[in-house]
Amino acid sequence: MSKTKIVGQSVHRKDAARKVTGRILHVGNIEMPGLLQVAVLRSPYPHARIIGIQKSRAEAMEGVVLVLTGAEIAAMPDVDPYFGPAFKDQPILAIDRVLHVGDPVVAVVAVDRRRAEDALELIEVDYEPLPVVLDVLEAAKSGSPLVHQEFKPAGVFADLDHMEAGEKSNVCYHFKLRTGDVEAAFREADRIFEDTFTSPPAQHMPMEPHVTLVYLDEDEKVNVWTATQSPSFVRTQLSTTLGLPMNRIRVRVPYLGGGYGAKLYGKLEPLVALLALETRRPVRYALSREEEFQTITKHGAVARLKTAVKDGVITGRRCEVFFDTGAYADIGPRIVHKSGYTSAGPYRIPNVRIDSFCVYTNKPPAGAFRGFGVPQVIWAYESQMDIISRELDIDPVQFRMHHALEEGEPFATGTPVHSFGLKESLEQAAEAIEWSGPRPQNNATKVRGKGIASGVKAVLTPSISGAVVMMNSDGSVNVLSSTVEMGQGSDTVLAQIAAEELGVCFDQVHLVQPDTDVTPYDTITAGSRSTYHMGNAVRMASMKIKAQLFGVAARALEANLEDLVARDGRIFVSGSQESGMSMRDVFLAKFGSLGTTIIGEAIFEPRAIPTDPETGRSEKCTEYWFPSASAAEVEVDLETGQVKVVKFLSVGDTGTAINPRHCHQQLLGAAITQLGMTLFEEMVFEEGQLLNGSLLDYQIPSVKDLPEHFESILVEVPHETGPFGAKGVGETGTLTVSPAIANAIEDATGVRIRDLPITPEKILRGLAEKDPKPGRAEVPQ
Amino acid sequence: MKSFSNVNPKTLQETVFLLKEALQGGESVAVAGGGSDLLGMIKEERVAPDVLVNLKNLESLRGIEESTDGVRIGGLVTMDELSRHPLIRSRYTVLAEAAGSVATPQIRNVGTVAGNVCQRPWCWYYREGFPCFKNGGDRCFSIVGENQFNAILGGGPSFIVHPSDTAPALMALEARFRIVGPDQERWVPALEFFILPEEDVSRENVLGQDEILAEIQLPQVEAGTQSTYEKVMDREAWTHAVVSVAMSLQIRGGICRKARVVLGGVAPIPWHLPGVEQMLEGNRVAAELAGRAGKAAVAGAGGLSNNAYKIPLTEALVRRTVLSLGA
Repeated sequence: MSKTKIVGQSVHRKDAARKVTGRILHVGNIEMPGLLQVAVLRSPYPHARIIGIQKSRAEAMEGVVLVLTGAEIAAMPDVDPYFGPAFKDQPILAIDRVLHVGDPVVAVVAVDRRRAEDALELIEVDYEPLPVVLDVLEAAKSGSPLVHQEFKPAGVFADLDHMEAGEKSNVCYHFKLRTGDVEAAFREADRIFEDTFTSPPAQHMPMEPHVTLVYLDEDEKVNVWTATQSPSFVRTQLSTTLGLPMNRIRVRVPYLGGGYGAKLYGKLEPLVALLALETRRPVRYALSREEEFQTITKHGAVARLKTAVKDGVITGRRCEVFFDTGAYADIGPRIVHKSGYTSAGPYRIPNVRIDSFCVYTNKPPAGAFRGFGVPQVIWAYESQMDIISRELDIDPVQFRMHHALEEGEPFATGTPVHSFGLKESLEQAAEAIEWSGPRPQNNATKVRGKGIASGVKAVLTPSISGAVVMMNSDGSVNVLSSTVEMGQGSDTVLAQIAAEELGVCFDQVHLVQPDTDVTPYDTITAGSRSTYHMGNAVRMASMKIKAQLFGVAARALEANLEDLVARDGRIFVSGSQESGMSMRDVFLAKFGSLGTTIIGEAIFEPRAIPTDPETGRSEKCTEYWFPSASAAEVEVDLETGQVKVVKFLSVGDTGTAINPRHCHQQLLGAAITQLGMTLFEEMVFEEGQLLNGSLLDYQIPSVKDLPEHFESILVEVPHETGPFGAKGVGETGTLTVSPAIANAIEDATGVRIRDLPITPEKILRGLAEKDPKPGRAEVPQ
Repeated sequence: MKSFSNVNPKTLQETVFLLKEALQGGESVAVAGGGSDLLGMIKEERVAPDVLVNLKNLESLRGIEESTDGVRIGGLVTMDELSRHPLIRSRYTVLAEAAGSVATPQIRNVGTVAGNVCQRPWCWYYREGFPCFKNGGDRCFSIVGENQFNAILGGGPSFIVHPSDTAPALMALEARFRIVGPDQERWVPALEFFILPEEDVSRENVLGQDEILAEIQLPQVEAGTQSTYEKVMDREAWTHAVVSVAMSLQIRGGICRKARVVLGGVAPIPWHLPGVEQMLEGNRVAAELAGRAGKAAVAGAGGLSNNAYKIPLTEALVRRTVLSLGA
């Protein structure tokens, strides 16, 4: 294969100049005559029955246009009052019950936000409190209060078509994997390790909170401008919700101020679309930061691992993982499925039993979060890998290397792994942290240690990406794609792929922003899938254009097709660039007219073999894997419990890097996200009410909290069907951060932390338990 | 959000007159300095004033001036100004460091010293609107709740901690506050400004509703005095102290002549430690003394279910700070 010209180059982001000069379009910036604003009255109870709502005083207030309740929505003909990507379990507004503090109850539409909010105070809702279940383990027990009485599968995604109505329980999905005989492994083991690891609910904290604007155009068509990562899904959802044909709904997405999984599937869109239809005016709803916490969260999880070891080798592992999906399942079942089958790790373990549960509680709904549940299970298995190797006195890196799967070996599901740079990532991480070097120096009160972790996530399969590529007669190109540019750099990478394939300059390629009237279906912009899936679709569509161009050029140049090359906006016989044709010449030769276009379209839809519902096994459970490794050096202050990450390396197998700088930025950005999850972030609840729902009290990392020495390393193991060998990289950097830091902390202090986040409080407690010093101030119980 | 009227008085006299008039008319009042905390509290309905008195036009409350008595700091001086002022940095280091540790650059640009000193608590239960003592309710939710940041000293019936960084520094510097009311003005030592919940659970200081903390007077610093502010935070920026120590030591010939030690983040008010000061004064500053000072600092401290870690943390921080100033 000839060397690529644009692919592999760290070209500058397409949107950089517009972003840094504040000229980029966001939904919040769109102005429209007569635009109305929304405020929503939310439940103060974690679980209650709605007895009655008095709203006439709010309706009478000047400036208020509409006050709408869930019961009114439920009575609307043709409107489906429930929505959701896995189950139709979420009402647009609460109908008869509220299921979490912050559940939307009444919507007010007014001429401005202030009046809409003031009107909320004039609404009275009578509630009858109902039994509440908040703890995920309690909720999973039979006999616990039920959050939902019935399951209604949504039936929109192929990978979730095995979802079915179960018996009455808060467990809305149970993934099982059975390989070998795990009980026999425990019977024959020399050593058995049992540990429980927890991750708390957390929030995505996109810079731009959710925002949706809906208006009816001159044709009464429902036009939606929304900050979503899944425009195609939103259109499907609205079609179902409103009972309208899909072509009567147009969903457009400008640039997102970050997504991280928060902006997937339907969120505000069903409500705002209804409000626009009811008022016949443009309506915008923009969430406050406080509402953002009540709208979508990261799953809290409890992971119990039991591991059998014989002769220094892991022979069996049982994983039980409980994911707290909150009051509505959102995409929880998919998270439990996809993370479920990786729960035992990317290791050669002959006997594995996994049970992973998606559990309803009376907390805000949990959905996708950068890593789709996998960071929670890696937190467990990579913490335990270190516990075991320390206990057995085996070097933690060697212990992992010994068990790491290699090309072609079967994963726990039975799927042979391909393009699996796990060992390479581990080696690179170990080398960069000077793993075999001397121990870092301690001083009297500050101790240092090193830690390492590895792990893997699989891409969501099956999923679908469609692209249309249109070349204009001047050689410029429009790429029509529903991939959402949310900061990850998809516009740039897709343009690089199109430019490379068509032989035009990068600057000649323009990405048309997602618009369901224009851009074809794409499953979601999430899960590290766009470079591979949309990249392949764009490349295939570009190939179709190139075939037409070459057909014309071959006749005009009297050349063989296979001798032709497209490069720098010209088509020529290999080796004689001067005598070739410009794109303009080719278009003139084909059409005899300028202003003409050639269109290529393609749909890329890799398939999977569904995992067996009883054994979790599949010969192909995923299209590709992305291994990750992290290495950390920490300094722990023994007297304050403060952890300073002195050095951090984020290593990822990205496949061929289309844009190496972007890949580095993704690995580092993702590591920062997970650094927050590791050291600071936790949603703290009191009886279902969030206590720290503000940007001051809910602490995300500041720039001062970043490691002094902070680098990323790309391991490029090409994927045979990736575009130019590329895979995804969006989530890779999140996967292994937390256990690498916890392992380094144990290395430094001897204290093993099993519950995230790793706060000074936990470190000081751990130190006190490990080494209760006489004379130390009494720690009362 | 409730409607309120906003007034921008031009003089201190006008300000306190407006406050008195509003209160006599049965209206509730709030005073805005920088407004960085107050506006959020109004939007979240923690406070719902009828009249908001904005001090932004009171030029007399600005500026830092040196005099023979020491330094005068206007109540509207911002955290940023304090943290950068050469005189404050060199002679009243603890105050510059405390002001520089507050929140973020944006907040330090607008937040005032009087506002920082009079800041309301940041206990989660209070800010989330639970019916706690500070919200006019009848209990402290932290006692059996999420109390990892709550008081280990001076608590009861409320276990809030005072959030101010500059208040412990001003106490350690023996500052005096000029308080202006409609009928009188008075000078109150910073060390006597704050009141415990057991005395009055509804407020944190002696300031009347119709009074303004107009200016702060710092005394001259005696030769050989050094001061510093040490603050432990969960993250490195934009958060309150888990524990902080404001300390000023006058050391001559290795002997501590005078000590002022005040803790932040551990009690419902900035926590003055006269016992520790006496222990330090007259003695040679060394590891042994620092260790005893640390222990004495937490004598009588008691933890709730999740905040006992703050006791050894405070002990260590006091010990370290003594040693760092004695070095």
